[in-house]
Amino acid sequence: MADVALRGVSKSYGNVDVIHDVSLDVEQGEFVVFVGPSGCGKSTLLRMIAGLEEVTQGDVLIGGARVNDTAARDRGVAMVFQNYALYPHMSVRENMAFGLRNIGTPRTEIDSRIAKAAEILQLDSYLDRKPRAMSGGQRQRVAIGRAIVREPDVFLFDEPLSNLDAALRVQMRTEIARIHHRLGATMIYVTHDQTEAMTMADRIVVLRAGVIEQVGAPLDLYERPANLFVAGFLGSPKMNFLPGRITAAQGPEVQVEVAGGVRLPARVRPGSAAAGDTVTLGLRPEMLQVHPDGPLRGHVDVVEQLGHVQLVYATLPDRTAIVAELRDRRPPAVGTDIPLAPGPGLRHVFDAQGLAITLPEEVPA
Amino acid sequence: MTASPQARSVPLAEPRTRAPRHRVRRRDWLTALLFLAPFMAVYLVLLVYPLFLGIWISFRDWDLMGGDYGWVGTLNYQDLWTDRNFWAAARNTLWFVALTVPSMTLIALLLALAVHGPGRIRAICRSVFFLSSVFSVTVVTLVWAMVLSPDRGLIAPVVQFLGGTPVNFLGSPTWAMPAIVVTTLWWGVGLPMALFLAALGSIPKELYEAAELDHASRWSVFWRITLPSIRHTLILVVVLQIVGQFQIFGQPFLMTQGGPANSTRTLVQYIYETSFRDWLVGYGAAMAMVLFVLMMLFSMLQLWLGRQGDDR
Repeated sequence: MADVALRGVSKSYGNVDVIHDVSLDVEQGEFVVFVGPSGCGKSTLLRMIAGLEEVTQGDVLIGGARVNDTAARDRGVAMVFQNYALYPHMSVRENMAFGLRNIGTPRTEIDSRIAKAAEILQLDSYLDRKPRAMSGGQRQRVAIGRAIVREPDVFLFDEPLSNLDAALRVQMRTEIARIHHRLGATMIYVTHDQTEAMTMADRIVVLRAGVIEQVGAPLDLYERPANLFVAGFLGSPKMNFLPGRITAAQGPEVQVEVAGGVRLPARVRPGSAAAGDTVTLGLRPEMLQVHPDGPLRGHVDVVEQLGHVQLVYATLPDRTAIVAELRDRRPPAVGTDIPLAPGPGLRHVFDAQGLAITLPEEVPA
Repeated sequence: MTASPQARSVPLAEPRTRAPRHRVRRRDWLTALLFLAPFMAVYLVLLVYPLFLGIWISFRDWDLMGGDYGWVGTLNYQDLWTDRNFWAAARNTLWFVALTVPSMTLIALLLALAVHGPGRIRAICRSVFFLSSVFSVTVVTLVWAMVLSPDRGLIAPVVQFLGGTPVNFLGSPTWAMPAIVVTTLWWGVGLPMALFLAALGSIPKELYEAAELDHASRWSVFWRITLPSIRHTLILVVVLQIVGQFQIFGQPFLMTQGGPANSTRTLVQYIYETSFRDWLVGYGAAMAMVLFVLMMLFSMLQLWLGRQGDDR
């Protein structure tokens, strides 16, 4: 087990900069998830920690030691690849033993480590199979097993679940979380799926275009997003953004006019906004309720019935699309107009630059 | 909910649709045959017919000028048994194949490994190594006859510089065949190299990254990852080489005319001379059948060996 630190790390391919001055500390035993849209540089960052990509600038430290010039094999990391990267000509057992044999681990030790990993991953009955005779989920387990037997200081996962179907993804998600709990190892996990990030991470690192947008515990980021990007990226369905204008500001209390004349109160950091400022009001779908006195009038376009909740997609008079997550077995009919009211919960306010100016104290305990 | 009535209706509907389904199937067959017809016609006329004609001729006393002196049974084959020239040609051919196939495969693989991957120099090397394949046998043998010449060749001055006496490679019963092998390697290495390059290119790079993290040595990477991944191409190359090299004709015919002392006379040359110089087409056809069987046996052996371990 070791901690990982990035100090002003940058990466360029020729003239193209893909990672810009990233600094980050990953504690020992922590499960950190890098999340962001495709091409944001999250995989590149992970591969730089692994030693599979060179660092253009800055330092990568593992266990306190600078490893920029250390070969990937000597960094004490194990990686689980998106396409599993199992050796197709070797059985499951050989796949797991390969790395250990290469460093001259005694046979008995190899066998006991494989037995332990197979038990953790329920692979006992597949040890003599070749990867091609296994399902996607089983292959991914073998790939994780191959990492476990190495007993690395740091586990690196590069979108390991994206080739699996939805049901298996949920299952493997909990399995990886369970393994982390059991091994207590440092794990860095890359995904573009915010649900994976929210459910698995001790801390989430949100990346966009090679820059860290925000780092924090899942709920922290969910409740206190630093900007529009993070607010929109975390949460499903994503946060509603209502373009608006501040009509009155008194200390932290402001009135935001949205949707063609509706005024909603919100709280911002004192001095961060003045009357007349253009802002964006952020309302999570789950805080919207159908209420007879609801100030927002939405024309229902689509209703998605998910069983436990209903997602109502509506359009406000100013053509802003909005989604409400309702817990009503009889949701409104498509084509009707419904009154929506923001219920209890934080009303996020973002300034013209997209940065959050919401008053943090407002977060309910 | 809507799926179950449909599912129930399938077995009920089946008996009624059985008759038309047959008709549909026949129509599909006719369409398939129609599409296959052009290939089948070429295949039958240019491959199957000559093969059986050859077998038929090999049992007859057949003269090139059209004289068919009738069925002679296995006489042609019995003659082969005692024909020392035939056995010498067969031995030469096998020797050539034994020298060429392994070395061609190995060199093609080594070249592919060397020039595989990104970089301009590698790309240039790939083109250069493949370039020799586009020359005709006449050009290749002419070039190599000059290279190997003891008076004006490329090798002679080097040997002289090192204090040796230049060897007349093509005039020596010992060196003539190896010289032809080298010529053949130079000429033919492009295609197997290209096949290996394609196979190497299709190995996922993550396998190598995983191997790097697994502390695999370069040898171990080659032996445990690269080689197993290109096994099918390796088999293909060896079989193509066996089939191709058994038919060696142009290089010895143009470089040594089968000499010196018949040391480079191969089966195809002997078949050619028997059929078209001595006009004994029936006898030539019998030899061609033997060559055909030899090639088939070796190729099948190689395919069988290659399949071992596929389903383990």
